[in-house]
Amino acid sequence: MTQDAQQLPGTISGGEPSATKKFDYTIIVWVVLLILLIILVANPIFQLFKESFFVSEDEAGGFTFQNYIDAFETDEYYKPMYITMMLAVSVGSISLVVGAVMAWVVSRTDIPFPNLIRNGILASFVTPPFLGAIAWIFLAGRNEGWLNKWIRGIFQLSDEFYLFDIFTMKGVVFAMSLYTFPLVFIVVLAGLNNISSDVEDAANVAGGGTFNTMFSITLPLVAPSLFAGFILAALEAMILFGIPAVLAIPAGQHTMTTQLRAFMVSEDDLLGLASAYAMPMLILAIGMVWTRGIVLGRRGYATVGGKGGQRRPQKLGVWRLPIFVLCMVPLVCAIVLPSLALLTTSFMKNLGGGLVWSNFTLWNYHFILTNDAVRESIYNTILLAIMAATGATIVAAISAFISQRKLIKGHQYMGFMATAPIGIPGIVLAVGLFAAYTKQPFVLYGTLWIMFLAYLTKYLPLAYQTANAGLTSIHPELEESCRIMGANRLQVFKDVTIPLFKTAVIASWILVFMPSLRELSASVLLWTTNTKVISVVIVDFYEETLLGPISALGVLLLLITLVAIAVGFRVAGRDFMRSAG
Amino acid sequence: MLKGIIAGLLAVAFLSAPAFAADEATMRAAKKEGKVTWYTSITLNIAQDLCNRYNKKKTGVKCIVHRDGSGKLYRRYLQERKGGIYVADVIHTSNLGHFLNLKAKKIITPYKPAGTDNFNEKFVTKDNSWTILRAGVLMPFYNTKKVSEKDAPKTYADFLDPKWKGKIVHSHPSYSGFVTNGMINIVNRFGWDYYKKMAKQKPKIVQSAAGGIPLVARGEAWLGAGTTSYSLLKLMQKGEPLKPVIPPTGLALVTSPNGVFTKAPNPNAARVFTDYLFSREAMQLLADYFLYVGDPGVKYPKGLPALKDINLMAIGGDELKKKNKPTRKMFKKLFGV
Amino acid sequence: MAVLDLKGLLKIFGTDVRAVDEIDLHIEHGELISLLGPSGCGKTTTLRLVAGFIEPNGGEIIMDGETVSNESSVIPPERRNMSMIFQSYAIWPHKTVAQNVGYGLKFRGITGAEADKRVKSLLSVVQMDHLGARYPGELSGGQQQRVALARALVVEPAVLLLDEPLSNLDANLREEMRFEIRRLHDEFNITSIYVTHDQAEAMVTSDRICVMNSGKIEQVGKPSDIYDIPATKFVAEFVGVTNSIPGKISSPELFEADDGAKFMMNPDGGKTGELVSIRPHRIQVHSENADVGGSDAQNVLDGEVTRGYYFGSTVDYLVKVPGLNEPLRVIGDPHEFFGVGSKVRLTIEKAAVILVSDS
Repeated sequence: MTQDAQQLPGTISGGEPSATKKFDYTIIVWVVLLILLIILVANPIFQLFKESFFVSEDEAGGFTFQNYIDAFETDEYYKPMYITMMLAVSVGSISLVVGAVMAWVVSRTDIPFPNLIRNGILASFVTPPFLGAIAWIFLAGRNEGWLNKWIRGIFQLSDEFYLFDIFTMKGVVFAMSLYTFPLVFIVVLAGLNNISSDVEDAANVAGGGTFNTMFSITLPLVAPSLFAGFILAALEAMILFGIPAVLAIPAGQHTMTTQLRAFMVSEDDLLGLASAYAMPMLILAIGMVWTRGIVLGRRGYATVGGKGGQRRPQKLGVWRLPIFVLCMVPLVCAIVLPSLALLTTSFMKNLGGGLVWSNFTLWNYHFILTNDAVRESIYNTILLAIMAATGATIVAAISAFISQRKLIKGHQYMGFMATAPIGIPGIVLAVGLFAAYTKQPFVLYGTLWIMFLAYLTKYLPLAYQTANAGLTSIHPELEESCRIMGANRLQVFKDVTIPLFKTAVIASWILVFMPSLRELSASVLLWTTNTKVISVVIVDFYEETLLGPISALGVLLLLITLVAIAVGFRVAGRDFMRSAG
Repeated sequence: MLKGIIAGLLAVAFLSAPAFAADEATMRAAKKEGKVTWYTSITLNIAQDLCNRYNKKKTGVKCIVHRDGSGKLYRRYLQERKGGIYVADVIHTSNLGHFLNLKAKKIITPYKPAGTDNFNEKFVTKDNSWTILRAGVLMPFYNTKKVSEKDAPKTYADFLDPKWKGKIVHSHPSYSGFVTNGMINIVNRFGWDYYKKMAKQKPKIVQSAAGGIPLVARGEAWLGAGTTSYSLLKLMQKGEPLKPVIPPTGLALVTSPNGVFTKAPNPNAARVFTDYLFSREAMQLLADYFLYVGDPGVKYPKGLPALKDINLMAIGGDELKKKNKPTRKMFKKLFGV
Repeated sequence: MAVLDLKGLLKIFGTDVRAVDEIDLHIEHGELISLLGPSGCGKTTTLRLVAGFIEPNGGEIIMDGETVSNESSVIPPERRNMSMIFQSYAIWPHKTVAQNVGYGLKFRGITGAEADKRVKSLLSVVQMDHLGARYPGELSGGQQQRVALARALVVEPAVLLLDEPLSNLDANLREEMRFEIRRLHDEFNITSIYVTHDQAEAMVTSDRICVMNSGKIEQVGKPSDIYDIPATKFVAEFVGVTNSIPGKISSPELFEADDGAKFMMNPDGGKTGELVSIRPHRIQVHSENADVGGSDAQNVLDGEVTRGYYFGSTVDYLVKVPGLNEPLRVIGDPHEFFGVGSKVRLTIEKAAVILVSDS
């Protein structure tokens, strides 16, 4: 039936047949989407490109390559690029090893509590990376970090001794890897679960041992997932702003993102220079996403066999517990320790005062809750997150619906359009939006709208993928059966499509809402006095080293996020976060 | 000649009509405007304290604080102005050079706050383009738990001792006008050689003048190359294990001006609020925070050395304006960020 | 109940894929007709055209004298008073069994107690009355199928369309449901179109079978006619197994295979054609030189067994016969087994040799 089955409803051009003369609404939909795409992507990128050829301070100046010369000629600006590349490669590699090994352990061995490990790794998305980095200052500061003190205490070592120093490039790599290895884990776990265990059993039967099978059969089969995971982690390391801002700058190192921001907040107008500087990042990021698409696109290779019945887990034997403990280490480092560090610091009167009752205070909470700017930022954050989640979900749901139900001409380009922003790093997008909407005739700068645009653009691909996946699971026959029972298009939508699509829509809403709560890399360039958000306030406070209030604010942010997740679980079911990968 | 002076005085009287203290009409208009936005580089807790106290007075004008580094505030205002966005009413930073620019471009407008007649003359300007809200010194300091008084540096040069390598925290001049100002003074005295050597000490770089204090207080760093005296002294008062270094060469005095924007969206509230900033109450509050103010009537807290007891280094606004950018550039070159 | 007429119905996908190629079909009141054919033959497209999900590029569909589809206008599915059973059952997972079944009633103005009564009675007809409050996720495949049937029937549609309704069921259940569908049809007597690629399903359930291939109708007829007197080689081979022997008519009622063998043909079969079709079980196997009686009503051939598989109830032979290029497939009686290499004598009734056309 393949040939027939391809011809799903409404495949014919011009849409749904009807007895009346039909209006071709294709054009309207296209025009709306095109305008949206121009506003969100095309115009900012174009303006970015344009600005890069003008020296901003020189108002009379014409077209010039000076920005590119400035950006790539001097060592000071060249070095951050080198550092960024090194970071991307090292973070990508570490994440690859940790993520892939943990995925294998969870998917293929008799490790105790595999679900605990899996859900824990998913939960590590909850801690915003910049907050984790700040918490790690408390934990692994060279002199006063709790871990260093603890080790000194155990081994009676001198004050000079330290094991960890978070304010180093190694510290940056460590902190980044904590928040990027889950990306690898999710992709590789999906890859592993897609390989029929029969394939592996066949290798065992043919005489291959556990490790031989792993290396000669399993590994080559998950190779595309491994590659995709590496790319994802490296890309994330490249475009992260929060962690290097917190840890690398004090170490005297800029990455491309922090350098970009330094240009943008310099008291000199360096928009042109910043635009030129953003170009290699943009090109690299798009290139990486593209490569990953190509590799994962060879699906026949990646999803061999489908789920193959009962799995026979590899026995870890005496290593079972040690490996379990080892698997918990990244989780403890990514979630437990930072949360504890933030929580305790938020109640400390005196940062050097230690964990004693006399050092307990509620002042930090009092400070943030009575500070107008903070209060407004909390309001702005939640409002923006709601706006972004709602906007992205609506656009995503409509595009996915049009695409899947082939409602209009050119529906096959819908997915491409909705996922087009996927390669644009947040901070680059922000520079572009800044270039596009701070001047007449479209001044959005200074309003929440410009940040809304940034969030919408940044998270639309995620929303689209979630909505699309949800819609794929609704068989068109469910709608057709409704139709033939006597319901018209609208009733079908109301009675069947919406109820069934609801879960995916809610999941996509929450999946946009959560990262929007802590979006930093775009916000940090786009905020104004009246449009501060929590993440920006935290970075602001960090620049003043107001560590106590930061911790309190961090705890608050985590609480809001946890509430969102709890609601998500309740409404959309346990696995709604899965599509985050 | 006399005619000219009289004409000039008259002109001033008319043209700079707003340069007088707020009257009833201004008060009413301010109430109508309802709020005032203060771009300020003073540390957030002080700014917030001032605002909160002002808001408690229920004048009908709500104070909104936007705290950031001097450089960033300057950039932000110019950027917003470019986009035709006017949010800020009153500006207060530690970069006199910027104020010269703002004055030249008529971005700020003269205003003489009420009650400043008897102020220390160093705190007021003749044309009232701005008024110095507070002054402080850039103070080196150390952690008393980590460093004994005997070992503690006594001079600027002592900070270059290799034994402090990796244990110093330094603030970034690109964000802090206070630090830029202090650095220019030190360079004037010791030349760039001093900072070349400082860079070799691999200090931790923080992005605001006060940002280094918590790091030293926690013992994460042992020495601070220089911070705002007021933040340091206030935290010492709170019991943090900190102590200033007062080198015989002198400390850089940083005076921080406050001005009113020409295109303030709430021009009347801006004036009313500025009056408050220079009122006895606010002046005393700043003094309590260990800041020097122009009002001769305030009582300074114990622990704040009198200005006359310190050997002071100071530069003028013009010099600051001229050396501002080269200083930041050089810093980036030497320290990498 | 309704009479359906498809006239010159044409559906083109893309620019030149003639999925349904100008077919004509008349369906009587209360008749159950199967559209039988392989993947891509156009049977599902035909069904969807009848349902009104897609519009034809030519021809028309007439229901009780009223044109419901033609090139320029199509009455939407919800206004055709039809029901459809889908391959995936399409049971709405967010509604209970009773809600699923009752859904269509509200569009027919039946609500409240009357609706409940009808739902109950239909559920009992499909033996699901105890499961009305369940959600589809809690039902087995067969039960879901019954819900789909009940849902389709409760609205008393004029036409019932079934799109491979049994293809997702396992073999045992599928067999059971064939009879169930036929039973329900006999009970409700609704004009039905049943799309399937399974000939046994078509045989059991249908009044008539319409065999389709490449968008065209190959043959329409009662199941026994389709099977016994196929019109084309395609029908003969698609519906059951057969021996297709190429050759030509040498004289009336006499067919000469390309390699020389001659066959007397069933005079009721096709009059023109390039092949004869002989069903394997219509060939009798006898021992060598057996006395098989006269050869005026039957064809007698001698050959040698080249393969013989024992199936318990039958034996499946291949018999090489001089004058035929391909060995003949023969289904024989297991009581008398001939091993490979045995010489055998075959007899074929004249009536079992059907002339078919090649296309």
